[in-house]
Amino acid sequence: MWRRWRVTERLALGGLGLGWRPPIAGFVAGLPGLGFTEVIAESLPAVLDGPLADLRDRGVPIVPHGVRLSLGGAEEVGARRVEHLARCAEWLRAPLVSEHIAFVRGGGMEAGHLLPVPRSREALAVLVRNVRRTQAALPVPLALEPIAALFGWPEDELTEAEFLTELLERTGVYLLLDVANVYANAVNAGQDPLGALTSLPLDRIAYVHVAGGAEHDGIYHDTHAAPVPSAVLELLDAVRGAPVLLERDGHYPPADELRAELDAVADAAGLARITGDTR
Amino acid sequence: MGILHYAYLVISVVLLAVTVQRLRGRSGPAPAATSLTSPIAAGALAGGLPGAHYACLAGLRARGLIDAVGLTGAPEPAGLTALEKAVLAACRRMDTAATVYDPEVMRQYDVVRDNLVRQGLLSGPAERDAARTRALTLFGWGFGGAAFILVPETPFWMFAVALVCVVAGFFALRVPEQTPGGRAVLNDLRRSNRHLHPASAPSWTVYGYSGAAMSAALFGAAAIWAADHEFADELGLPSAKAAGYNSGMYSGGGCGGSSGSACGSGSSSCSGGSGSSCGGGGGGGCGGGGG
Repeated sequence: MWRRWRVTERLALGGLGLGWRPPIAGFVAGLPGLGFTEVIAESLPAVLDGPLADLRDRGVPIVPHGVRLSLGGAEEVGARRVEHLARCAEWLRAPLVSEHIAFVRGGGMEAGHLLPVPRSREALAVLVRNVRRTQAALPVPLALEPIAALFGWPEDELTEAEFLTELLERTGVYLLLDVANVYANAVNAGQDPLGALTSLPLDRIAYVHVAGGAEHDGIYHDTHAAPVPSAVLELLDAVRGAPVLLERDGHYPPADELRAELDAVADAAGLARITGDTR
Repeated sequence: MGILHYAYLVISVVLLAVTVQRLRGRSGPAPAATSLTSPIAAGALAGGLPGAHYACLAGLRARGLIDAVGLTGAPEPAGLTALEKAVLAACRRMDTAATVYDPEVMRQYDVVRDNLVRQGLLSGPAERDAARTRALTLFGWGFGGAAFILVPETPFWMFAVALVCVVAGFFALRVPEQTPGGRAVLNDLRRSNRHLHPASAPSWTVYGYSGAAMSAALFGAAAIWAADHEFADELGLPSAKAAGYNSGMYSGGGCGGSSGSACGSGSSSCSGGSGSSCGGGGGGGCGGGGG
């Protein structure tokens, strides 16, 4: 636990946050105790103004969250995409940036999805190469998020924990742990979510994602468009005290419900409530 | 160059000064304490009767009270304004879009408008008439002066002064409804409610009926299009561009065009979306991972 605290203190990130999305920008800005927020890097305008700039100027830490670097792709990570991420970090005065352990394109085709990287030695070497290139161009530390995947590759040689631990050790990146992804992967694979969570290198956590999802045809989908299930909330106890960010990307509920959900996340994660409700 | 020329110059300067001073001071800056919290008043200030009507429609729609053809049958809640009640009553007799022409709706709008005039945020008919009279006087004076060009030895500067009077009088003829104070209040409102700009596709669910109404009040039909496309389409509302509400507001246009939509039920997550970490791909079946 003490190592985790050391990490988050160094990254100047703490408390509970809510993902900044334009449709709820006013709600996010109105949260009296907002610890930090996260914005999709690829959606940032060329000139930063408006509500997001206001938040930055208020001193709220904002983490640019990339979704299209394709770090796990066989092709070299795009220099312009990395530059954009670096610019985002500078505009936002971000303490760190985050991306995914995934690939989104290959052979000139855009997948439109975050696709899982084969957990092979060869794929790990490619990923490490791309991560190092990205780190070299970034002005701030990088945190990487393992994704939720609905399938694995036959050439997998390592467990997710082994793959992740080695990646973090070889590159020095931090871990953006999405407990909802861990839950989705474990449930869909018939595994114990808590066991899967505790096997990961939790001492490298920069911050934690939590989100809601829904089951469809026997498969749990991390949709970000539903309330956080209690089973996912319970996983937050294993990372108690770490900074947590609630992701909500659609089917937004009334403000009171969203506040109640934030309070539930705060309580589950052992963090102070940010809604102004101190009950 | 005679005394008549100098007299013309002096009178021109006085007329110009009076016109400009009245234009600026017609309402003067609004008192600092003036702020509007009522979306309907804000709508009336921003866009007159259509603006107030948009605010009503958005608020009533967000409460689930109306659809494009009239009332939904949901019980009428307490706390509706007189204008909202008038729109609801009109919805019993006509299509929702047509309620803007209902006499009682117009009468209630006049009450809202009169309040804004009393607050110094909109100019009243008498003020507008007086301003037009002053503008016409200036215009006529300038035109008359310009006729002196036919008189030999009229100095060129006099013609220039006359031209200035004509141009100033012409522009002063267009008396804006909003007073300078009203424009200041409106700008403040738009600044403090940037999150309700249609470019952000603000969630009416999160902001509630008052947020929906304020969004439509400040940003017009475009706000209704952004938040409830089907409703706007059925109402036959003017497009965002035609509504003329596009200028001078939050321009964070790159921010997440697709962000209003859910990640979708099929896919765990994707990278294609610009506004969400779970993206805009939506369609499942590729086994994509979740962000």
